[in-house]
Amino acid sequence: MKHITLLLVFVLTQTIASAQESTKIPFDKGVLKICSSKNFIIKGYDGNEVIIKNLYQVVEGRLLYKDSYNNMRNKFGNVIYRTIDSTSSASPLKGSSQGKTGKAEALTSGKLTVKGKDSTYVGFFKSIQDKNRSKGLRKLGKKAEAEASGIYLLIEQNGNELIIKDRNDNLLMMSSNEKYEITIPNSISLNWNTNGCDENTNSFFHSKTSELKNFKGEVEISSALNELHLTDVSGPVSINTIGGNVIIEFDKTTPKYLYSIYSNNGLVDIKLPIKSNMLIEATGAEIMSDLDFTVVSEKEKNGAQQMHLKLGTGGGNKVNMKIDAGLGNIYLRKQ
Amino acid sequence: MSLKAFIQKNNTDKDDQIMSSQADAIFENRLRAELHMASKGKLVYLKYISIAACIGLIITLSIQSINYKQDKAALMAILANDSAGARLEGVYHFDDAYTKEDQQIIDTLVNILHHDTNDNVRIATIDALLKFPDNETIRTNLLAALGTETSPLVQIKLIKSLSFLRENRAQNPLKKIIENEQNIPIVISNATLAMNNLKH
Repeated sequence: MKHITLLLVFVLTQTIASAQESTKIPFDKGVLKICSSKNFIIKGYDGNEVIIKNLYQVVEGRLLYKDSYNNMRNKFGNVIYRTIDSTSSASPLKGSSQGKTGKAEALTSGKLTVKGKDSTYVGFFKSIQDKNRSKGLRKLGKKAEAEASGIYLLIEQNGNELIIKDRNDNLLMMSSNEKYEITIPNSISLNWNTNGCDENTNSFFHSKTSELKNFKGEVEISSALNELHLTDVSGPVSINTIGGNVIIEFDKTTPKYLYSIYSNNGLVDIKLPIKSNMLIEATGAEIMSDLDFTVVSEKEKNGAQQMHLKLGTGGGNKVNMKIDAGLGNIYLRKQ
Repeated sequence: MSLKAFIQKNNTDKDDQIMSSQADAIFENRLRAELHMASKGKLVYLKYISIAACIGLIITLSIQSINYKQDKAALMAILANDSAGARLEGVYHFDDAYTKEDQQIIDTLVNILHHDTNDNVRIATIDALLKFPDNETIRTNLLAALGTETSPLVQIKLIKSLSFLRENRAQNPLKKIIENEQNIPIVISNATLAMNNLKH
């Protein structure tokens, strides 16, 4: 089968109509794959375009390189952090970034040093132009246009798959204020990996809560530490996370299809309409609720509670919800 | 008429009647029928119930067999579905409804364990396969999966499962996980815990 891979770099091709802060891509059938550690608000709608909009004002361009210490030293020398703009003071990384065997720490403001011989994340620099010298000129090249649009994402289409990912697989964007809104058609499926799509990447960063709202298509989400907030997502939904919290809310809808949630130790908090007709299998350190569940069965396994719960007396097919929060708690609330 | 004369007259009357030669046999049959009627009725009744029960059982088993075949065919189809949600429904259905080992379904689940792209499907499949802890095919494939799996959450699930099964052959792949610096700390700590559990 012939696959035509179309690399769409930001705003350059005719298939993308770009406004100042949004990019529109015709796509209403297939799978939207998002492989990015950035912060997103994703909204479903009854349309036929994927619309990407940046929600931040300043692009600081702080990059953290994912590379071996030796490679980074070869590239940048022993001083990993660098800045060109002498008037700018870069804020240090919040907290520290744990590498595989090393540890990257922001010791003082604007400086980053690396401990350990083979840290995964060892580089940090700020890309800042000399504003006076560039006055009246405009940047040339794709990267510059990306900066102009404020959308630092690489977009590829491969058959019935639309892929949105970070610009470089070897980079993880660490701009704390980089945030995008993506509006997606309800007719597509969403496959969202907050750690990127490189299977060999086992390094995670904690970012702000990412959200998915009002979406009627199928959803697959893989996360690590990011908190996820889903509102009025009808399903089917599968979510897995190492330690990120999962918050689900049904405000204007009821669950219609399977929800499957696996977490190692993040909490799972779900608000359900009291009229929901559901069968819930829940495993967690503690299970708490103010809903009128019928407890079908209950046992304790490895110190965790395992319960089968039934909600709603109506006949017909009940929607299945399987929650395994591991060492985390499960909260099931009335909407 | 005197009594004597009456008896003599009536005796003569009876003697005059010609009795059938089969009268005794008929009488015997009637007597036997009367005496054994109740128990024979019960036997016939039980016999019919038994036949009906057998037919019912055969029909029920046939229906169950047809239902099982239909359910299995539907299950196999859903396990091959493109939708991860559909495959999850299939695995959960197997976990909830199937109590007997079916090699064809187990082979399909083993294939899912090694090749499905969705972590939730693979984790649910491990749970489903653990229903049959004595099945050697399942144990060896869980071991093989532990050696190849790269998703941290699925790795943790496999580690806990093989520790639960007290599968000593897991020590070698666990050692490799512990020594592999590419694995994240929580996977390594789970593997270390499982290794200690298996050694003691």
